[in-house]
Amino acid sequence: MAQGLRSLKMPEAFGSSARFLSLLRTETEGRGQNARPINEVYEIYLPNYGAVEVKIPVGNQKVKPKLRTPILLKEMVLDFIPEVRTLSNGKKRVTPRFILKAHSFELKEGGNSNGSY
Amino acid sequence: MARIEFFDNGNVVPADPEATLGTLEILKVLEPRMVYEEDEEGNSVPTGEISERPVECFSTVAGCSVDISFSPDVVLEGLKPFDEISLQGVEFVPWANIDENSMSNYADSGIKIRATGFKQVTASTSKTTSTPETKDSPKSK
Repeated sequence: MAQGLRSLKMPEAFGSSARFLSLLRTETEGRGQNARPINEVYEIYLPNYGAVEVKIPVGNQKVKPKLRTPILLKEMVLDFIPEVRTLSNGKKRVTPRFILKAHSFELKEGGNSNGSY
Repeated sequence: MARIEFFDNGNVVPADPEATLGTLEILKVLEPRMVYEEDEEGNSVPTGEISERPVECFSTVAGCSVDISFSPDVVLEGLKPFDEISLQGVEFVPWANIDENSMSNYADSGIKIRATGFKQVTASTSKTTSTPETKDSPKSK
């Protein structure tokens, strides 16, 4: 019985037309004083998909771009998880859901840096 | 916030097969899957037509075993365990199923890997040789 894949590595072309929108939040691990940041969640624009979230490990992203700056995502991975919903009549439905992760992103030529993190 | 979906693309994820799977080692050539159709009584009966030829492989990059579904016209005879192959015409199709009356929120899911062909990189018997051997090249005697 094969174990199967849970994450797919994406080609660089997938995020080649991405534009930076905003830093949404920081994901943490642990609670209270033990909470430590693990991922920065950015909002980016992808032409075929609209505004999507991308998770980047804390510390990898050094450059802080301005709004709508073209960026180039590095080492993208698409994690796959099924999302189960319960309808109002009690029936279950499942839809495939993807979480985009990347190592970091860099500004493309012509992009404006707004300082560093 | 939009979600990343691939419904427009036939649910095929445009992933990088080489970076995701790398070279694959054959583990087992599985039984071919048949096309089924319903008879008059509503039972599913095989028509005798092959729908796909699954092969269990070990991916060196992913570090796990994966099932590859080859097209019915692909010839898999002669493949031995631990032969190294690289895939051609790869498609990644995610799937998920749940019984609509299920009490739990557990859903069966996975990523189906379809391929239209393969190229043999090395045969298991000649793994120690440094020169790669293609499927079409004559076997060493």
